[in-house]
Amino acid sequence: MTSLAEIVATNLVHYNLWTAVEDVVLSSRTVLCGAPPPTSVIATDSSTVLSDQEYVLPLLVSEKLTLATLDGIFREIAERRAGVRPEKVIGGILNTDGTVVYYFIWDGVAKPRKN
Amino acid sequence: MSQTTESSVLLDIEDEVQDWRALSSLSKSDQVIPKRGEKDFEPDGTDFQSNILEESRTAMYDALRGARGHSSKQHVQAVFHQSLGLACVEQPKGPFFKSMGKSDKLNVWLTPEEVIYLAERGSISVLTELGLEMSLEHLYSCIYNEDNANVIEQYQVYAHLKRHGYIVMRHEEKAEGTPRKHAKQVEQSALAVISNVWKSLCLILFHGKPNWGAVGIGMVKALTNPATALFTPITQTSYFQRASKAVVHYLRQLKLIPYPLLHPQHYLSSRYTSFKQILISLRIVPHYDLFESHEVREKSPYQITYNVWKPVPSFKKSDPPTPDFQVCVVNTDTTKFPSLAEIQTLFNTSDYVPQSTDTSHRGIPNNKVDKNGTLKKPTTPAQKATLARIARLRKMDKRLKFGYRNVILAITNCGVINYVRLSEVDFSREEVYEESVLRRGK
Amino acid sequence: MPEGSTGGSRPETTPGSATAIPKNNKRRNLMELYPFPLPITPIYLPSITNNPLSWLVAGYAYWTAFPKLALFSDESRANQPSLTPVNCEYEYISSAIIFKVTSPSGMITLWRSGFFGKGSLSRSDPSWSTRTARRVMGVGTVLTSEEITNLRRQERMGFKNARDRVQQMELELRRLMSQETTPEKIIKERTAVLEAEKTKLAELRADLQKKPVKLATTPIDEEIREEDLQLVHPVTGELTQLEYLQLMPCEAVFLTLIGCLKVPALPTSWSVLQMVVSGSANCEELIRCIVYHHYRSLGWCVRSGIKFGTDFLLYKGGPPFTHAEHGIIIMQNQKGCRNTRWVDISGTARVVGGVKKNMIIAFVDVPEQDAYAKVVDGKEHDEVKLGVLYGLYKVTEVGYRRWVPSRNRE
Repeated sequence: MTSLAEIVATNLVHYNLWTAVEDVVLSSRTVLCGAPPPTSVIATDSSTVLSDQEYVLPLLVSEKLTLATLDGIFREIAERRAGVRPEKVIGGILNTDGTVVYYFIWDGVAKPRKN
Repeated sequence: MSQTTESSVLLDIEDEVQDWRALSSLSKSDQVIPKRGEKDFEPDGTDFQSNILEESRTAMYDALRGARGHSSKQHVQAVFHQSLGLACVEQPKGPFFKSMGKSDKLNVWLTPEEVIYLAERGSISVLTELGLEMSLEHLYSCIYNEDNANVIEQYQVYAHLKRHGYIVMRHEEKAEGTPRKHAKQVEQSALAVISNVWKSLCLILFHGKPNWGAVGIGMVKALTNPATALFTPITQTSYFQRASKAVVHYLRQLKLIPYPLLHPQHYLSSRYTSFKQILISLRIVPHYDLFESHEVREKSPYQITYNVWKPVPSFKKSDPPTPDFQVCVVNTDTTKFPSLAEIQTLFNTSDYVPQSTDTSHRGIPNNKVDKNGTLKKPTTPAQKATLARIARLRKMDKRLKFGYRNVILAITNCGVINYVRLSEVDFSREEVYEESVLRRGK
Repeated sequence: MPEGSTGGSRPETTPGSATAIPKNNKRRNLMELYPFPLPITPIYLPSITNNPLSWLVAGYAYWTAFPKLALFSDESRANQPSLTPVNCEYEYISSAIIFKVTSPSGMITLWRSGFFGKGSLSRSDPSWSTRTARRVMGVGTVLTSEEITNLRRQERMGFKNARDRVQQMELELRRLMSQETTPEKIIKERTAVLEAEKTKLAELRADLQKKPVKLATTPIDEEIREEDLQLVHPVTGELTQLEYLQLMPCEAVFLTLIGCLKVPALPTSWSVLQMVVSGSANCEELIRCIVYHHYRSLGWCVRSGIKFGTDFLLYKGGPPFTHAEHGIIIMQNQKGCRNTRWVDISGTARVVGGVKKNMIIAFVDVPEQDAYAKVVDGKEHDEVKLGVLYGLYKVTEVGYRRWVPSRNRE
């Protein structure tokens, strides 16, 4: 049986061409950490620059998320980064047809994208 | 394919912010429709943007401050009759009355939305039955009506459409048995007949040879699931069952009878000679047939509110033509998204004119003149066939986009209006699959 | 900002611009590449003429010919008919079931005849190995749709950067203008330069909307990563096939039903259906299967609409032929089932309209649970059952389209 995190990791590495993608095992779930390629498929707008270490949260399309869950994920990631919360995590949502779509989840208010 | 025919405007004019500065230039110079500006992404720290904002605001106030008057010759007075909920104009003057109000022998009677619309424009002054001048606020409070909770929303839609230049009148449900309903029924039955004839034609044309699928299912049912009690004593013996199974199996191995429809082996054991036949054999999901519904729910919150016409000079309010659009006003605070029955109630109370006479729709390839103005005609049969094919597909696209019977919902939410056209669509009447020699090429 | 990004960009031009007589070659090529709308081939009879001999020929052909599945084993032996259905496995990921086709020939067959499934590492058709072979080993010259999209994106990025530059110039000019000490001459000069830049920018934007993507003859220069090296077999030098074709449950049911797919342990479409439905008459997955079947049987190419917020997208021929034209939203026509929110439907309609598709609400009549259970628990054969069950439902279409007063007056 393949896990959700494995599918999203494969998608990141071999579809979106990320490198150094690793599992980050948190208390409640596994998130992924990796580096996007220099010209990332995800970052199509000029105002959002991806860092070389981004966190991806694998999700099922049927899943319900709460703010508390998200806050917990930010907090647990911070514990591994000397208390620094990442400015965002990326939700990687798996759909029934196999598509993985990615959405930014910001830790607080972020400047809107310039189209 | 549709992409090229649709308007290429990606920006929605309706969504842009009004730049009022255009107004001040409009009053000074000639009459050019002002262009709305591009929006800035963020404050840039200079006073350039705030200056523009300030200028725009001033222009708006200037425009609103302007005195609105009319000559005493054109002055129209109406008397609002609270008990009737209507206003009476004794001496109608001016162009408005061509398409507004209802005339009896002496006077013109205005509906609440018509009175408010004209009063807001400054085109009439309204008096109480005692002859006192009414303020707009007073007038608004008077049209509130316990039977009609959405009266303000209805007014907003009315005024919005009027300001866009449409002719708008209240929709009145016609009495039963009027020619309109009769005509619809005739059309309905005619269509049903055509549709049935078409279906049987299809069956004969494409299933002209024995329909192996149906025959197969019939045979299997007859042999393995005999329903008649008559043969039950015989067929229930295990000997018979085994024998019949063996016979069926043998016949299938000889390729004499196919596996039944929906059996995994069916399409490998039946002789279809075109994809159309295969598709027809797959059509097992029941679907709605055009004009099938006659449902009319009296108590539905969805009833047609207004009949709407494009502005035409020849319009006669005493004898209006079939409306171009019919609008149902909904308030999102009080009304839920409609059920199918409610949508069908709207269709069944709408005035539908069959579109068969409409041959002028855009998008049909014009084979006479191309963009450079030179004459171009299809020369080869292949080109002609291609043009005919495109024309057929465009017509189909149009039917699938705009449907047959339709009603426009004016969805209001605290003064914001979103119009949506609901239409009766029928995919089962369209053949999208094209059997082509190209596919046989292999 | 009026930037025309309408979803996927497509190298093919849509056939038949309004006035010119359309070139049919593109369509012809596509028809040759994708000859069948389903992975089954009918028997094409030789043409019948007045000569009675041709009747005999046709009759003989009819009797001896046999329907086949369309199977494209590889590029060189394209379109070799076969009687073997495509093999499919299924597995669970958390609570979701996924259907996987892993054989290259099966993937090609299902994609090329009817556009079934989606490459797990591709946007639609399974093109990962082609892309990766070029990227890692420099093989091949034909661009896949993902690569074309990437080039488009790079072009758009170029435009956006140019736009940022012009906006920066404008801002500087505004600052200068607000300083009273700035000489008039400088402002004039700068204004002229800015105007020229703005004109250039407008041209760039126009180009972006018109220009077809150029086929690159050399592979796009990209670094080879450590992850890529692991894909290449150290001895044979062959690329590991990571990609599989994933089928939606409704596709798996439909393909099993027409005999083109074989899921070991689930021999009939009924048994596949039973794996994915909940057992209640209004099960969403069951209704998806029924609506999917309905549009497939009418000849449409049906694909997931998840990217536009709809249940399905309908294509006339399939993705390479045209853009999808209709977005299907499924609603149950059931008493007490009225939970569509105005904001949801408005949002969806706006997105669907924004990408120039037509939105259709497919209302589905759902039978009583008793009637449903009677069929499910009945003793009929599997294939009979599925037909009877589908017959309990009914699809009614309603078009839902935004109407703009200012555009409908004339």
